[in-house]
Amino acid sequence: MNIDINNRLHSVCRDRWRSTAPVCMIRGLLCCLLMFCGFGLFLSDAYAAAAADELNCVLCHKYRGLSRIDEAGDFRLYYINKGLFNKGPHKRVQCKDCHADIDKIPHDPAEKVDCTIQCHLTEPSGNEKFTHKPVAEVLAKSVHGTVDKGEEDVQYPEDYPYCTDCHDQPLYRPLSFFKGQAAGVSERGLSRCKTCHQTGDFAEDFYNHVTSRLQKMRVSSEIVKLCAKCHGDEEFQERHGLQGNVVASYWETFHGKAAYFGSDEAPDCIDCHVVYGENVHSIAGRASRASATHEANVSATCRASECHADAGEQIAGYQVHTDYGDPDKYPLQYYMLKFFKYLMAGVLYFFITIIFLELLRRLFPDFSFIKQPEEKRQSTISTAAKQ
Amino acid sequence: MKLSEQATELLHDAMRRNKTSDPEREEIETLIERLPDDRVLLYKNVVSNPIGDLPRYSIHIRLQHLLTFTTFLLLAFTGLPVYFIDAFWAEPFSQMLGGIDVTRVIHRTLASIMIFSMLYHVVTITGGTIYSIVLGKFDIRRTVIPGLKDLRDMKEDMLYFSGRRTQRPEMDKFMYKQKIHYFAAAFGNFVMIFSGSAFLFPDIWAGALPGGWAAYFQDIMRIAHSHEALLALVVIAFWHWYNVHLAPGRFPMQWTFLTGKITREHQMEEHFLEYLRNLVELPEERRFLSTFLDHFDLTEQERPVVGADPAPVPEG
Repeated sequence: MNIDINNRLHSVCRDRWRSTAPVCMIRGLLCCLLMFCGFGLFLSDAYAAAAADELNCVLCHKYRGLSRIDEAGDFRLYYINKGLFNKGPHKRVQCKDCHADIDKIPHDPAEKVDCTIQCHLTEPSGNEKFTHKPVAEVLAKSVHGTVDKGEEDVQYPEDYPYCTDCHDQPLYRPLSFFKGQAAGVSERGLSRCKTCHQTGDFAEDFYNHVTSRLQKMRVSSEIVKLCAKCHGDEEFQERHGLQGNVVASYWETFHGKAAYFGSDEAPDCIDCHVVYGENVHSIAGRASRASATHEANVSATCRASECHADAGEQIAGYQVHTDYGDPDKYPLQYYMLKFFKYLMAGVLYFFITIIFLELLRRLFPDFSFIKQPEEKRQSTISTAAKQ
Repeated sequence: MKLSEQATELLHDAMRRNKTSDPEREEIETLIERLPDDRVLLYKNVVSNPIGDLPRYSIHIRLQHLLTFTTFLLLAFTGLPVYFIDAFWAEPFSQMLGGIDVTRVIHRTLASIMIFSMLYHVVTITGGTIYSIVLGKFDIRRTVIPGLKDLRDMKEDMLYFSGRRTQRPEMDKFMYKQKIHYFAAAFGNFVMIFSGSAFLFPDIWAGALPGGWAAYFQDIMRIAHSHEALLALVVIAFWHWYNVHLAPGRFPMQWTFLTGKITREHQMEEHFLEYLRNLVELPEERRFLSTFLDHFDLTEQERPVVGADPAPVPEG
């Protein structure tokens, strides 16, 4: 069993389970109780994971209550769900491949996993050991990278994303697995592969490997929320001199609204900010000529074959991240909103005044706002009587 | 009743257009003379059928109203959650209607029905106008086209409502309120269709607009579409629903939108000039009024006197 999950869990737990010690203790006790009640169930899972777990890490990590409060006071959960792990991308990777610093059991607190180290898998197209290093290199050159930018050292390096900041797979989210949610493997589809590839799990693994890259793994709103973890934070924007709250303004657009309501087709951050057909990790800043949102590239980005393919060049002019509350930058939009607000108020008051007067007269025919002098009133009555 | 100069002129005009025969003219004039000067007495006491007595809307107008109000409400239901996206009810409400991928299809389908209804209306009124011109019966005062009289009517009506007049002004088939509402709806329809097209066909608009404009066009349309819709909703909820549903004496609703007929009492109160035309055009209405006046001595009826000026002697 791969211990690198722990590290991922650490980061997730740090964010999500920041709580006080007593609550954690109660949770721990509950988990222990669960652990003993369902021991048999976990045992059966343990065998499934045995293939990738030569060091038998799950001997301990199979317990749902395996957790502690670290030096920083954060609750850390070290439980590994073997069922989910075996459906994940790292099922054939040994725990020690990533958690290389662990060399005894029981072990000391493990170091943060370096995703760029070589693991014991062989990359099938060449014969080299597999590593995520190429992706890391692309990422490093992108707007999200901290090196090779040809500028001075980046400020606030801690703000730049590490692999696990975006790749927080559901697998690594503790206690968030749901009934009936299986990995996207079609048994019927697989049966075709298995006609020839009969040995081992090759067909399953290959199928998973390919389809997980072809399928959209997150709905649009999840992508936006992922990016919003940093880009929706006002202090973050200020630290990095970014323009306005791009997340809030995105939600204002029809793209954003469709995504918000869970539409799969709605374009999210990646669709516009990554050059069509290129690696997500290579995302570049707007100022860079290589960026999808660079002035010269916007039109091509909008007119990608899945989007506004038939649009004219001018579609590049459509404003997306409009801040309607900023009269200096978007005066037209700002004052138009103002206009509609006053128009609405004006229309409402106008109608309500008329309705109020009319109701008054209809319900209380003798009521008058402006009282007549008594003599005139009398003469009015006599005039009416004469009629 | 002594008619105002304006009403007299209108009555004679109507009789001329209808080629009313001399005995009929005499009958009409006698009837009008027998009416009490105080119209309030008349419409407070006259016998009316709640579902309507006098013709007002053709079947086409009724169909257009049905199409427009059903599509309008459903368009609002499918559109509101998108505008008030943060509200607690927005997502469940949208989900209830099938989720955004369904409501966007519903919204566009309904929009096309609403556009059809609008075109249908334009064809109807154009055709109707041409037809009445050919017959020589066309009278611009009988249409929704606003004139200075509407401003005067509005002022007089406000004075009546605030207790400064004893009678409402003599208004035509379409009073100032209806004209305001009609043109608000027409303008709203135009804005909604135009801005809606910007969202449905962003590609085409991007190709058609000059560079500098494209930047603002989409934003302007986005603001216009949602706010015009809200404005329309406010107008419907406060203005239209009050006038045709909630006003005392009208509750729960005027049935004109279904029967196409207006009650006699309502016609006399708010559309007196049109009632005069009804007298000219409908012999059965003359018979009714004559019988009614035979049996009711309106001059002996009591009428609440408001502490205000008597009805201004009709102009002239």
